[in-house]
Amino acid sequence: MLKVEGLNVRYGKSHVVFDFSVEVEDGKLLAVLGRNGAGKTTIIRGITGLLPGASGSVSVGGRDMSGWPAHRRTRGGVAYVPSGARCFQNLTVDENLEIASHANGGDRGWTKKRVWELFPKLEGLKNNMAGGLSGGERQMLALGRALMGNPRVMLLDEPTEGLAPVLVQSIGTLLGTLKSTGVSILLAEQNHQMALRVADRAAFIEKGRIVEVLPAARARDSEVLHRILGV
Amino acid sequence: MTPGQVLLFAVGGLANAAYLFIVAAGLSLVFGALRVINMAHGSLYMIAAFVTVVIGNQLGAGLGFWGGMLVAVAVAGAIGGVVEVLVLRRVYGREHLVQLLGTYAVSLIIAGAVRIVFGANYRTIVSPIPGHLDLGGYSYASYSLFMIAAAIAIGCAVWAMLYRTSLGRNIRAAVADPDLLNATGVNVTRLYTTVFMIGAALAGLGGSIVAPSQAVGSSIDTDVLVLAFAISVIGGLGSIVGSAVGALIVGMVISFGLVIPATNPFALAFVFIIMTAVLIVRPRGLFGLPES
Amino acid sequence: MTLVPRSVRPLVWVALALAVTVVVAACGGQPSGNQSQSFKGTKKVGYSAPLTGQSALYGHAVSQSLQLAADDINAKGGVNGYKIEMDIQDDGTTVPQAVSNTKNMILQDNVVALMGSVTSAQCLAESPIAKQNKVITIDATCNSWQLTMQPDIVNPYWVSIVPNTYMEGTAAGRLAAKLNVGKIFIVSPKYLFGISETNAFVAALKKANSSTQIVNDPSTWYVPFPTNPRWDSTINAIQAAKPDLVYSNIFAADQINFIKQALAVDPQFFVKYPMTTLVSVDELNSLGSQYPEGMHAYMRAPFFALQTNNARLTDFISRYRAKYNNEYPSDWAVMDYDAFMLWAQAANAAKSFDADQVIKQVSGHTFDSLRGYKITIRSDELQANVGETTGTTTSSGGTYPFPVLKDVTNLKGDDLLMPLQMVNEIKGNQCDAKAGDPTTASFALCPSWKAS
Repeated sequence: MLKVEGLNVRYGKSHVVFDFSVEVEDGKLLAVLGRNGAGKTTIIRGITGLLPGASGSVSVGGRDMSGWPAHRRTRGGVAYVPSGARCFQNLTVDENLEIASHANGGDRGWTKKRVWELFPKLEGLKNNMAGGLSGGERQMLALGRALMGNPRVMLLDEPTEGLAPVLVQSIGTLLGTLKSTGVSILLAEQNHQMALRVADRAAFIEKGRIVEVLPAARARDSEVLHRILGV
Repeated sequence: MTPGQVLLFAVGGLANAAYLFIVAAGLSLVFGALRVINMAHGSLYMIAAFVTVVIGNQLGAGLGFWGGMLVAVAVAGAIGGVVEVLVLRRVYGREHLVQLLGTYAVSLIIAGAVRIVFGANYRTIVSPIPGHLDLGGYSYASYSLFMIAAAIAIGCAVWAMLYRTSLGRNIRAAVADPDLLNATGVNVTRLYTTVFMIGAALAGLGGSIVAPSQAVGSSIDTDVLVLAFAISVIGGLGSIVGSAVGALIVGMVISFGLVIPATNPFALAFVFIIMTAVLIVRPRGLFGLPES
Repeated sequence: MTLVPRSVRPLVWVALALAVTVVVAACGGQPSGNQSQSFKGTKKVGYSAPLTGQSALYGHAVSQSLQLAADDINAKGGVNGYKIEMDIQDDGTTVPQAVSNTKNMILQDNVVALMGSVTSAQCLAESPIAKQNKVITIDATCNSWQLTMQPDIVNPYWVSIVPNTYMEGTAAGRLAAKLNVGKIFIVSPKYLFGISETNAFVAALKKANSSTQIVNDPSTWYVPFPTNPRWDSTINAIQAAKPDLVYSNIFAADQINFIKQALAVDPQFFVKYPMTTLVSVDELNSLGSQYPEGMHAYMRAPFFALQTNNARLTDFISRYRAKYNNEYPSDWAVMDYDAFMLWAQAANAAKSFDADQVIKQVSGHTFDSLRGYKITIRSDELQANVGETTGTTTSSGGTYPFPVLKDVTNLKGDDLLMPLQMVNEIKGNQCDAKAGDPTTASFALCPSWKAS
C-alpha cells in the first residue's frame, strides 16, 4: 500500500504542490487527473524522492520512506515510469532491463524472461540500442524496466502519451493485469478515458492541489471532470 | 629514411603516444561519465609520481618501484575521493566554467602542497625494467616498450570496465540519464564518487608509470595537461577510443615531425593546428559524443 | 543551463584556494631574521623567479642565494642606509607572467633594482619595461648577447655578469673542436638563447676545425621549448645519424629527461655518442650518480672547480649549506650572489638608487666575485669578463652526491669576450639583422668576423 501524507513541493521560492495526501491500497489504481501544468509530474517525482524541495511523508506497505533518497525508495519497491518513455538511450534493450533488476524491492519474481513474454517484440530487439526504438517499443521497455525492480508501487507518468490507440488499449490491459498481482498504481494521465477504465479512484488536481477524489465510476460524468479537463 | 629508421621513429611515436594516453585515459573517463573537465588531473598525476619516487627509493631499487606504485595509486584514488566529495559534488551540472574554476582551484592547492612537501628539486627513480632491445642497428628502451604495453593494457581495461561490467553499464547509464538511474535504484552520488576515484587512480597509475622515465618535479602537472587536453579534444573528450587515436596522432606527429627538416619548425604547432581543425569541423572530437 | 550560477558556493572554494596560494606565495617571499640595526627604511630588489615550470630548479637556488646576499648586505648596514628586501615573484618560467611580475615589481613595489630572469625569453620581454622605467637590471642567468648589444634591444641599464652566448658558444666550439671529431649532431631549445648560443658554437667550431661536419639539417637542430617531456624523437634521430659527438645546450628538466631516456635506450648511449653540453650543478645534483661520466661539459660557475685559493667562495658555500638544508650552491646561486653584491656596492658608491647614477659606478668598474677572480664590466656593452669552466664529468669519489669535472680548464673571460670591433659593428647595425627579430641576428655576418 502506498500512503502519501502532506506532500509539498517547492522549486526555490515557488510552491508548486500543496498538501497532497492519498492512499492507494494493494491491487488498486489511483488516477491522477489534471491539465497540463497542474502538477501531476511534480507530484509523482515528489513521491520518488528525486526532488530535493519535496517534504511530507511517503510510506510503502507501512514502511516509512520519508527522507530516503530516490535509489533507496526504488529498492524499497517504488517503480517510476517517467513520461516520454524515458530509457537509457545509449544502453541496449537488454542492459536497460538488467540495470533495473539489481533493485529488488519485492518478490513477485519479475525476470527478463517474463518481460520478454509480456512484450515479445522486445526480445527480438534486445541487442539494439534503446535510442533506436520506436515510441511504443520504448514505452514497453520503460514498463519492463519498472517491472524488473519487482515493485510494490508503480508511479506512471502519462504512459500513453503519443501512442497509437491500439497500444493505449494494451497498456490499459497490462495495468489491469498488474493490479491483479497486488501492485499499487498511481497513474497520472491526460487520457482520462483510458485512465478511468482501469482506475479504482480518481484524484483531480488543479494548481498543485487535490480538488476532489472520486470513485472511478462516479468520476466519469462528474462535474469536476468537465470543469477541469474541459470535456 | 630507411625502413629501419621508420620503425625507430614509429616506436618513438608509440612511446610518446603511450605516455600521453596513460595520462589522458582517466581524464577522458571522468569527463565521459561526470561531464566535468578535471583540471586537477595533472596534479593527481604529479602527486603519484612523487609518491612513487619517494616510496620506491625508500624500498630500494627494482622491486621498490612496484611498491611505490601501489601506494601512489591508492593515495591518488583517496585524494580523488576527497576532492569529489568536497568540491565536485557542488559543481555537477553547472556550466563548465564553474567546474573549471573549481578543479583549477584544487590543482593550485595541490601544486602548493606538493612544493611544500617535496620541494623544488627534481627527483628521479631508476627504471624498474632496465635493459634495451637491439633491432636493425637501433636500440629500443625496454621501459618504453613496457609503457606501450601498459598503455594498451590500461586502454583495454578501461574499455572492458565500461562495456563488460555492471559498474560500466551504470556509468554509461549515468551519462545518459542520471535522474532515471537514481530512480532505477542506483546510488548515483556514490557512483560518481567511485568514477572519480577510478579516474584519480588512473591519473596516479600514469604518474607512477611515467616517473622512472622523467625528472619528477613540481611542474610536471602542467607539462602533461596541455598535451593531454589536446589529444582529448582531438579524439573527443569522454571517449577512450578517441583518446587512444588522439594520442597516436600527436605522438606520431611529434616523433616524425621533429626529424623531418621541412616539418620540424611546425611539429608542435601542427598538434594544435589539428586540434583547432577538429574543433572547427567536428567540435565534439573524432569519437566524442555530443553534449546533451 | 543557466548562464549565472544559482549559488556562488563553488566560487567560495575558488576564493579559498586563491587565498591559500597567495598566503603560500607570500610566506615564500618573506625575509628571515630580525635586524638590530636601524635603517632609514626599506627598499626592494625584484626578481621574477621560475619557482615553477621548466626551470623551477634554477629559480629555487637563485632565490635562496639572493636572500642570503640581502641578509649579508643588511648585516653590514644595507644599501645607502636602507634595509634591502627581496621581492621574489614566481613566473612559472613563462614570458607573460614574467612581464606582469616585472610591471608589478616596478610600478607597485617600487623596486630599486632587478635581477635578470632565468631564460632569455623572459629577459627579452622584461628588458624594455625596466629600460622604460629606468630600473637597473643585473643579469646573472639569461645570457643571449643580443640583450646587451643588438640595437633594437639594448638597454643602457642592463648589466650582464654571466658569460654571454657568444662567450659560451665560443668556449663550447673550441672544446668540441679539440676533440677533433668528424660528425656532430646538434640539439638545442628553439628560442633566443638556443639559437644565439648554437650559432656561436657553430661559428667557433668551423673557425677552429673546418673539417668537422654537422650531420643534422639546421632546421632540425632545434626542439620546441618548453618541450614535451618525451625525447624519443631526438634520441632516435641521434641513433639514426650515428654522430661522433652530440652538441647540446638543452638544460634543466629537458636535459634530465633527455639523459634519462637516452640511458634507458642504451646505458652506453653517451659512450657511443659522446656529448658536449651546457651543464650546471643543478643537473648534476638532480641526476646524482645517474649523470653519465665522460660528458664534455661547459659550466658557468661550478663551485667545485673554482675553490682553489678562494676563501670567499669557501665561506659562501659553508654559509649557504648551513642556511639551506645542506644543499650545494648551483652555478646560478654563485652568479646571482655576485649580481646582488655588485649592485649593492655600486649603489653604495653612487650614494643613490638612481639608475643613471648607479650605472656610472658599474660601467668600467671592477668588482669582487665568488668566482675567485675580479670581474670588470666592459663599458661598451656592460658585459663582465667572466670565465667559463670546461671539463669532463667524472665521479667525485664520494665527496659530493653528484659527479664533478676532471681535466678542468677555467677559461678566462678576457679570452672569450666578443672582440670590440664586432661589438661596435653589431651596435652599429652592420651585421645582417632583421629589425624586431633578434633570432635572425648572426654575428657571423659581421664584416670583422667574415674577414677573420
